Amino acid sequence: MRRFAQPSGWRTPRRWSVWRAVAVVIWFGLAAWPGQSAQESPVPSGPAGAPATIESPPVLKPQTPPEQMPLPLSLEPPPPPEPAFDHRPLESAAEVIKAVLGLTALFALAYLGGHPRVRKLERRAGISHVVTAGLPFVILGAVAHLPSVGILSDSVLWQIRPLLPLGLGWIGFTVGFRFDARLVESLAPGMAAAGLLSAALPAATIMASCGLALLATEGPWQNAAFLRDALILGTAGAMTAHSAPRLLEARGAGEIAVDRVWSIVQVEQLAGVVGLMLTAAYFRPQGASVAWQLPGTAWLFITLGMGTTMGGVLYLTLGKLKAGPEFSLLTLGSVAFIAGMASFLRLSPLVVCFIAAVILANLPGHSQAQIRAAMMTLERPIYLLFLLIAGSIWKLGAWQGWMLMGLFLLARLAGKRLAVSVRRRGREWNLRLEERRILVFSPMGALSIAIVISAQDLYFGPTVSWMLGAVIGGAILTEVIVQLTLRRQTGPATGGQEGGPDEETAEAVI
Amino acid sequence: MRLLLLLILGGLMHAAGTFAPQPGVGSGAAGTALACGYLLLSGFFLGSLFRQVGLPKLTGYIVLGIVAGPQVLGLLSPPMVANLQIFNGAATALIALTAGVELDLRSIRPLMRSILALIGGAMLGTAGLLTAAVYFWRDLLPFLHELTPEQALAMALVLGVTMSAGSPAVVVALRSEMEADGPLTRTVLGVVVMADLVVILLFAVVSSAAKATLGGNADALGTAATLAWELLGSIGSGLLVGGVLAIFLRFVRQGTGLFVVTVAFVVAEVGMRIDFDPLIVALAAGMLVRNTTALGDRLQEAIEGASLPVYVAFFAVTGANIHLRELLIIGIPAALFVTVRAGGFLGLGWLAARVAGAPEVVRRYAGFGLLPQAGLALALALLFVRTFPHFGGEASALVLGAVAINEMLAPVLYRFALVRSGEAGRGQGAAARIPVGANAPAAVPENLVSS
Repeated sequence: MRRFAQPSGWRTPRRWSVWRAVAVVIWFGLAAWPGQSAQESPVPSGPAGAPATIESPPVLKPQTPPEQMPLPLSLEPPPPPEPAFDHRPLESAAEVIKAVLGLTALFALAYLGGHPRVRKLERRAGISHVVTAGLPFVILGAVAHLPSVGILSDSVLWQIRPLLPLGLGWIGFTVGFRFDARLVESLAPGMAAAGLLSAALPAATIMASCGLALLATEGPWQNAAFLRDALILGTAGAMTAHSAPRLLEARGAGEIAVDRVWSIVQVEQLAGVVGLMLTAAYFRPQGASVAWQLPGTAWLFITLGMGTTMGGVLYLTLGKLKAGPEFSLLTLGSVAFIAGMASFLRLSPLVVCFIAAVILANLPGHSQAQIRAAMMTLERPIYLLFLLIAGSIWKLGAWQGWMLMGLFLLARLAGKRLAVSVRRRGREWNLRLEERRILVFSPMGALSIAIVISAQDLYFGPTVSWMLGAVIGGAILTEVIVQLTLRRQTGPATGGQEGGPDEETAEAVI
Repeated sequence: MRLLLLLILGGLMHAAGTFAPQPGVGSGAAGTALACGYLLLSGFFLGSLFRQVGLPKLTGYIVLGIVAGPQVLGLLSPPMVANLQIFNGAATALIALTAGVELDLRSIRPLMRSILALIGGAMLGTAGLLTAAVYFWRDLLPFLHELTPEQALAMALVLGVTMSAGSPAVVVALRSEMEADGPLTRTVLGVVVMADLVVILLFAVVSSAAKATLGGNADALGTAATLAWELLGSIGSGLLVGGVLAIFLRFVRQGTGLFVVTVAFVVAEVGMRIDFDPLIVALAAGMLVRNTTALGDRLQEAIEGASLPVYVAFFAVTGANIHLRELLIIGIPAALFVTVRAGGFLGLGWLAARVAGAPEVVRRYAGFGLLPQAGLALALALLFVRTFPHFGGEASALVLGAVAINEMLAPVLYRFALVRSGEAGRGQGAAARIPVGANAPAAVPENLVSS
């Protein structure tokens, strides 16, 4: 991870005002979170990471009579299960061959999309990977889903659904490995609060606007699904891409400014992961589909405990290994096991793997760098695969998705603008114009996409597809706005530095 | 420490299993990922423990599958095991690719006489012995009771050929694990690879004959055409795949391991659908790269670097699929036939090697390399059920019982032979090589005998 110099000469922040704002947001959030989970349709086997519309749960016989079930938040009967989806096995040889060859070609494209030469091109152009590779992959996914093409048909998506938790776990690992404990020590005074504010206000504006829209479109307010969806959208929209400080750097900003923005981005990402953890812990299916009927807070502790335990197990497992086939075996096995376990318990694989990776990265040892390098090799291809899947299940004809996208985009911009204004008004930080601009017109990163893909793994329902469209479409549009704005105001990028410590990482340009 | 980690992983799996409201549930995507991760991690630890006590690692993988599988501890539910069978085809192709890359014709040519003698003497002879054993002990096999002597003989032929199938995968895996090289290792590799092809051909012929004897429609022309399509088509596409691999190795170089695994998946999944044998396709590809280019070593390194997870999962799933219940029911006849098979391979192997003038080490130990058995026999057993629906299930159970015994014992015996022969540890730069191998599961297309 690239470590930026600690900024100096900052004013002592008036912490109380920032904390007050943060406290208000948290209070609203906690007040909204129920002790019970949003009700879900029963699912057949605990976690089935199938795309939202793919799951077609069989009806299980409830073990507990309905009247004795813990009272869910929803006072209305749960919505009926999704209509049965066509996930018949591919029977015709031609179908299978087409799917196998098509998927291979798409995977190869995803791999090429993560190639260092492509990254170099992106850096030269000064644009994010979301635009260069992301948009084409979303379109490819949509095309591959067309019945006439049939490569990513519903049946194929059903078959490849185990890749979803695995990919999310991989991303969680990669992000977690970047969180060095020294980051906390190196944060300038007030930067943690700045990062939190920068995450919380956009999240709040997105939750408010998209939540209202979802409430209007989803149905009765008693059903907390709209709240859950709003929280996921807010969490996904709160974060800024890692490319933001690099954009700043490419436009000649000083090192201190770049470091400040970098710190804010890191804190935002941490806040995003925490937000996802809370959502997954408190909004869970109840009833006959799961055997463990626990309150949300217990699931929170299970998430933390599981991540910590697995981090310890991994430390024991990977600690003494050197490079070679066995290292690949154990790395892949570890990610699959932790992500599978998390998804099986209907927790977020991204969060649990993140926690395990943070534990592992901050324990003494020699294998961390090697694991980090192994993780980053496939990071971008996995993101691109996510985009393919997202493109294939994006219901382009659903007006709700387009409406959410617009709201999401506007609310995010407004929230970011508000956060910068609050900071300016508080006079806590001496943010320069370009810093403020990059924080307002901040591109969205791949972690945002991974978070909304997590919803695909955790929940069912038509809104998941809308959210996917909102976040991914919003990310692409945001990137376009960022590029247009910055180019108009400061001219084209001069090109980022090459060969920095994390230039070679995938995250650097995502 | 490894034992402790094994226990922790097992405990976590058990805990996760209690999350599902009904036993055996957990076939979803998460269940598949969880089971895959569990098998990879636990397979590694158990394999290491087995190696410490002088047993093959791959036996550890198989034992893990048996113990954690649905029939013993139930940590893996049947749907999980079924979903993980996606590794079978890729593992078969990778193993055949490895075998092909190791088949350097220049170094094998001096051993060809021994190889042919062992195929003709040991393999075909053992198939004959097994046929005789089935025929004369047919009283032990209720499904043969109602057949006329001619029909029983025909069925005995089919069973004899099926049970004589070997396992290139185990041989390749043990060679890598033991870092073995020498006349014994190379001869055995050549024999098991070529014997698999012979078994496929023989099975097609004898099952057609048996079908005709039982009153079905046996289309000799159709069978010949199917065989020609399978063999020639597989070889042709194998050469094409080999060409693609060579181009990639020469011009791209980066990400070779991932590319090879992807090719293996494609070969397996597409090949099976168009009645090509993935085993032959990959074998031909590997042989092409080894014998016509200078890229063989690079391909071998790429396979070794990337294929370990596929192999571990494959062997563990093979273990989880062992039919312990059938073994209990049909254990005594299965054990008898396993003994006959072992006796045939060891005795006739010695004789054939002696006649061919093979080196002493080949004479003494080549038979041990023919003992392992897994995938091909399993695939043939499944074909049995479809070809002879009236009693195929019972016959299949017999084969599955014999395979289960061989899967557990034969790798240990072949490892013993490699150590005793002095060839273990002689392989060049094989220190980090794959420690696995089992067999070629779906090596026979279904329509081979359906006509």
